[in-house]
Amino acid sequence: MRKFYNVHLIWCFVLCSVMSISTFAQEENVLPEESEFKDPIGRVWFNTYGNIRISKRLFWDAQTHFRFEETANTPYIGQIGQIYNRHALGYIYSKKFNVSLGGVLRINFNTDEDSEDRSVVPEWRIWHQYQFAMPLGSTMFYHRIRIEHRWTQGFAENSEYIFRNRWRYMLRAKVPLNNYKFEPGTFYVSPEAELIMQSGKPVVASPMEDLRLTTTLGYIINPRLTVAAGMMYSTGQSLDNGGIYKQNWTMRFHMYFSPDFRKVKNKLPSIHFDD
Amino acid sequence: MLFLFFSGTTFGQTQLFSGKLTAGGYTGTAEYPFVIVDGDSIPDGSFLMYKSNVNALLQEKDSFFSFSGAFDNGFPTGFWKFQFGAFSSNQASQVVGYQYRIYVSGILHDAFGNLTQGKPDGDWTYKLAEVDNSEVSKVLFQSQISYDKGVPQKSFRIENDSSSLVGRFLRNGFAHDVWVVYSDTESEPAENWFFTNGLLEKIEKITESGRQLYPVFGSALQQDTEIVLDQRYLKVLEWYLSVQDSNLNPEDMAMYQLLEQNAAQYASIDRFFNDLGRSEFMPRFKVKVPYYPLDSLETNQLQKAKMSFEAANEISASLLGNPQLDLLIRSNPEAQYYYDVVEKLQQDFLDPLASFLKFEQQQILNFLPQDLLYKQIWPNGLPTKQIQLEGQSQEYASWVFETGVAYGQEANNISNLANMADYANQGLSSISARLTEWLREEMKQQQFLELDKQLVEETKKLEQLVDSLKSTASIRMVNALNGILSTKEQSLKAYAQMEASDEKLEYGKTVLACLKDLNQLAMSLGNLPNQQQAITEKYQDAVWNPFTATIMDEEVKKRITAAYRNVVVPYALEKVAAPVSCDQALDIVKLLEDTQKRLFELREESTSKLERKLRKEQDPETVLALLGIVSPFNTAEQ
Repeated sequence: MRKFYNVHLIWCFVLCSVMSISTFAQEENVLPEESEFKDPIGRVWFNTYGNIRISKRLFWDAQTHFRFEETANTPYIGQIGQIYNRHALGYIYSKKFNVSLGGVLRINFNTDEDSEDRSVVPEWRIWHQYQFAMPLGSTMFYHRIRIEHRWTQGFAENSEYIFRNRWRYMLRAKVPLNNYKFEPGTFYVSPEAELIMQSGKPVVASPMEDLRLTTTLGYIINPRLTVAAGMMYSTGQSLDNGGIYKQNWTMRFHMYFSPDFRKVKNKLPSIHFDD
Repeated sequence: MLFLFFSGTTFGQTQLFSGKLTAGGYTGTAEYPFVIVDGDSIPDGSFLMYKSNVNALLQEKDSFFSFSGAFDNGFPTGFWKFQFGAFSSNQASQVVGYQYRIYVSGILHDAFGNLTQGKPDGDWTYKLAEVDNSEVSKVLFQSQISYDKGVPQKSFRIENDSSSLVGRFLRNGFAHDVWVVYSDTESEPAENWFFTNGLLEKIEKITESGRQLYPVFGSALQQDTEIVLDQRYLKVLEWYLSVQDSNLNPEDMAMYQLLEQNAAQYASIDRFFNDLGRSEFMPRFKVKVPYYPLDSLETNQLQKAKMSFEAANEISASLLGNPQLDLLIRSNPEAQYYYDVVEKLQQDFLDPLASFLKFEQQQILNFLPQDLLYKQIWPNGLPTKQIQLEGQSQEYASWVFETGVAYGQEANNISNLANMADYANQGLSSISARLTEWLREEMKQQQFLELDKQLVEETKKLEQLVDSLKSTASIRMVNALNGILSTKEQSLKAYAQMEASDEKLEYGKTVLACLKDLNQLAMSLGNLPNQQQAITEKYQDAVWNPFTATIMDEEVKKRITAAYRNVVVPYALEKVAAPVSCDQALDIVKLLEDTQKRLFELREESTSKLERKLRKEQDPETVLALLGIVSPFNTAEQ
């Protein structure tokens, strides 16, 4: 246990340092007098999370998200904004700690109906993630530190890629509602808060890219399949002007699956990581 | 010859034995050489065997021994010394020179002398002493006898703490002259036994009231024979003396006691020799006794009498000692009558016969004058065949057994005795047959009582169990429990309606067995919830859920557990509700047990094919067959 806390503390320290540096960055004088909050945009995300066991300690993290956002012509569900493929190789250090390293290919669709630029551009990322689990009574708490190195480009023809780093920390809880522990048939509520900071040459006055506050209600169908749905409010500085804040309300639908194709005899030690 | 044979075959190599040995009741360390002859180990050479334990001595008491001597081809030969006994210590010790000296107290046996070819040869001394603080405080027994190759010679001396015996033998080993017993307190002899050439002529006993003379064999002596002065001889004397003076008990005589003691001490050494090799250590004091041999006819008759007596005695003992008969005679006057007859037969026929046959058993009948013996045992002749019972009504006043066996009333020959014994035996057999019949009836009554009691107990137990189970049972289970009650009721009803008979008794036993089976079945049904719980738990698999980072149980092989819950268990309950027959009760118990056992096994087996086959299968027999459980009903129906 002590080891996890130590690792945890180091990462908190790194994160805080990064945040401080960003905050002291020089701001442009084009900033408005007061913060401006754009009108919230409605979005709908359909996310699948796969956690495919490869060996006793390795798993393949496979996530595919379909993100829709409303436009003037397409209210409610809106039109497709991004298709998001996130993959990584994960390592289970213990029941309470795992790490992942992989890449993301995100397909960004131009949702500006008036735009004459390209309608689809790719976005590339390398990401790594450190996730801690902490039981507290029947509730589970999770700390997730995710660091992404991101290459993006605009929809305009011949846009240059810009490089940014993203620093993400998420605190999430899962509280079983109809049981004292997580079992098939258990409903749970999961509040979560994630702060996404960014840095890089293009980031001048907008280090806080996104703050996401979410609550979902989940249902464990069986140990290998869980579904959840929730609502997320998020806000963050626009890249080109740190005084202007975007806002979103997002309906999120999740499917978590964790198949294990290993033979039975190889599975046996899976619950005894520390053997 | 024997000696030559063994000498001729001892070409085998001499080996040395060294280790633990048990001989003559003594166990200790032994060292001696031996040779193997025809698979037997024969001690040959110097011999040492000993045991002593200082710790035991200091703590409480040490039983020690030390035997030394030599064997020649298995025969003890040469000088032998025996020391044994038990010592205790007061734990006080003293250092003398380089040794610790501990003073001991107790009893010490000390025997030594020469042997030739296993027979005592030369002077032998046996001494039994009381030791107090390592000094002899009192000689309890001592015998000194000279032998010539096993034959006692010259004069000998045997003494204990109260008297001494001095006597002598002829060269041929026959007791001769006066054997005198002195009391330690008197200077005059206490007893004089006068032998001539082995024959005891008279015994003179000197008491405070004066001298008494017993001629012992008296004038009865016509023919004599040679025997060894041992227990048997003393028994013969006992009889002859008792005829002359019924108050005189030879066992009280000092001579008797000294000779007895001597024989006992020699016997302990003899046992030791016999366990190890070949010897004739027991002293052969030769004497003569009167001889009245039986001819072959008489010997046959004697054997016949003995066999009839033994058979009759067994019947009599079993009847008189039968507690059921003891109860029966209180309610049945005829049984009482027969019981009295048996008692009388025992008293008048068997007891005197026993006294007579005792001499045969002691092997001294040949040395006693039979006509005198008869007179002593049957002074009024043999009992008549008709037995008179006193103080009884006319009906039960006498008993006689009608048989062809006849015997003369005169007690003068063995043939009469044999016929009398035969008569008693036949009479007792017939009485026994009659009484046994009653006893069987009586026993049957008892059995019914006992059976009814057990039936009631078992029924109560079953009803209580069913009641308690019903309170928490499902409808299906209640129906099954009612099935059990219905079978119970039917069986009891059928039993109650039967006439009392052997068949009823037999049937009652099957009803009792049925009730026990039903009880077991009810318990098995009562255990079903536990069984189901155990199976549910067994079919849980712990699975790691990476999204909650917890381990959760998952029910696996659901089709198998569903088949158990939804098909097999209801099927078993329906069979019980049918209602179950007595014969099937245990079958269902077994079915449920087998099912649990099989489901536990299937949990570990590869079952994907089976699970596919079980899908939608609702027929219980097919499901059981698929699960690999033998259905008792399937075979029954086929």
